Amino acid sequence: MIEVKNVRKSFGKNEVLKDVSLTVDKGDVVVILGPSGSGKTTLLRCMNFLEKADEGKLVIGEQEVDLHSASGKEKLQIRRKTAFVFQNYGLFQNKTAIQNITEGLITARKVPKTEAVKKAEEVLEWVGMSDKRDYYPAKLSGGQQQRIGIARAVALDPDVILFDEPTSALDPELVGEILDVIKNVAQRGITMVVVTHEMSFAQEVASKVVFMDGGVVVETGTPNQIFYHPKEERTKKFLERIIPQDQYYI
Amino acid sequence: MNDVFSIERFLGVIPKLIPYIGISIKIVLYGLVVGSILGIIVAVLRIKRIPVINQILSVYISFMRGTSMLVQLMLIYYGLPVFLKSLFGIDINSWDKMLFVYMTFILNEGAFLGELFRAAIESVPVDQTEAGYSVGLTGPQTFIHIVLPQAVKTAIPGYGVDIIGMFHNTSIAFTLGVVDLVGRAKTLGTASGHELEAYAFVALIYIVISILLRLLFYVLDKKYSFGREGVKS
Ligand SMILES: Nc1ncnc2c1ncn2[C@@H]1O[C@H](COP(=O)(O)OP(=O)(O)OP(=O)(O)O)[C@@H](O)[C@H]1O
Ligand SMILES: [Mg+2]
Repeated sequence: MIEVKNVRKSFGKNEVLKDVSLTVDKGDVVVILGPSGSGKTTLLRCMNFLEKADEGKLVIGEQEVDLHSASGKEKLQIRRKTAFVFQNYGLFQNKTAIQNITEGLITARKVPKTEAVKKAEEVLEWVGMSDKRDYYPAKLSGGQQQRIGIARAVALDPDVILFDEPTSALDPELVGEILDVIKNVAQRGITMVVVTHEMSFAQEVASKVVFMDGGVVVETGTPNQIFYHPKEERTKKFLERIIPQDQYYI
Repeated sequence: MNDVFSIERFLGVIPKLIPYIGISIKIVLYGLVVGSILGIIVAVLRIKRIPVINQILSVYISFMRGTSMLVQLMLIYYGLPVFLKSLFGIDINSWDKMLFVYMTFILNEGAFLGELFRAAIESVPVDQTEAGYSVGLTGPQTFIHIVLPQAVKTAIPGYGVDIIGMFHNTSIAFTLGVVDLVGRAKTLGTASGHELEAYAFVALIYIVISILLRLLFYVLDKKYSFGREGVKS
């Protein structure tokens, strides 16, 4: 189980996260929704220490760490239990597709090279990128890069994968196929937290939907609860804007 | 003045000049190797922006980039012994003149390469570092495996130009009486009254060195292209 407790974060005078808490059970697919600027990205980044929270705790399994004052060693331990899929793919530009996947295994986790390569080939196959094994990111399309990004995260076998708008930098016609890959990750039973604006994906895949606005969690529930029976006015307003009315009432 | 250039004289100066190529190469190598190490240290310290040290480095770099190497050599040759003697009582007047030449090249290169490396390291997008952290790499692992190779790629063209420039500068050693390739060409020319042949040979050497370096950097550039077509220079 993963727990985020009472996270606060300000950039200067701009209070971006105001006491955010979140519980993610093993195997959960938690989708975070919310308008632009509501703090979704910042929350994910704080969970991986890419941003230093002003306050807050993170529990992963047995380990609890302070999101503000964690030691370098604790940060490393948490990062090795998590993986991140970036909006702009975040592939290592100086590494080929397969090296992108093996780097975290070999260098960070000291997995023997042959074993790491075997694992990487397996996930490459799974995301349909075997033929691009030795390509550098510069030679791959956005969709192909994100497949590698997802494969890299899965290969690390983390307790949770954090996705930050994994399809929003893609050409519209590529979004569907990448969402399918992510659905596949979900079906493997991997715990995930996904920030996305793809409502149908959220409805279909999420076990839990979290609606954030203005740096707070406004409402949490099953997709059914959030999409069809939202309690909070702010949630309703947001959904009305995002989902066309006809679709909304089906 | 018909007798400006003769092949015999040209061939004649070659064996007299060749031994002096070594001096130039030695100066360049010291500047390159020790200067690169100094440059990396300067770059990393500058990126960390440590108060006081950053200001000192900033003055050092401005000075090295803003004054000619000749001035720097003079200051190091005449100034440093006085400075060390009066402050620490260390007498370095008896040191080999070459040491002062090396020191000048090292300090000069440290400043130039420090800036080159700093700009190259800072040109690597932060998302590369964040991606490194996200897969569980430590700070140093991320720097060495991810950031540095990409910075090297950016620094390569500037590095090549810099080395060729250093070769051209080795002749300043002549002002201390250290005879390098150019210095020797000058003395040969003065002695015989025919300067062109010696300088022609020097030019040839420079061209050969330039071509070799270009070749080397072309190969390096290819090696570090990471799937991108390199910018042809
Ligand atoms: N590094 C930063 N420095 C200053 N302000 C920042 C920084 N990162 C984010 N912010 C601010 O924090 C707020 C929340 O940003 P965040 O990126 O978390 O929102 P988001 O919910 O992910 O939005 P979007 O849907 O547009 O991605 C915004 O007002 C943003 O301007
Ligand atoms: Mg965001």
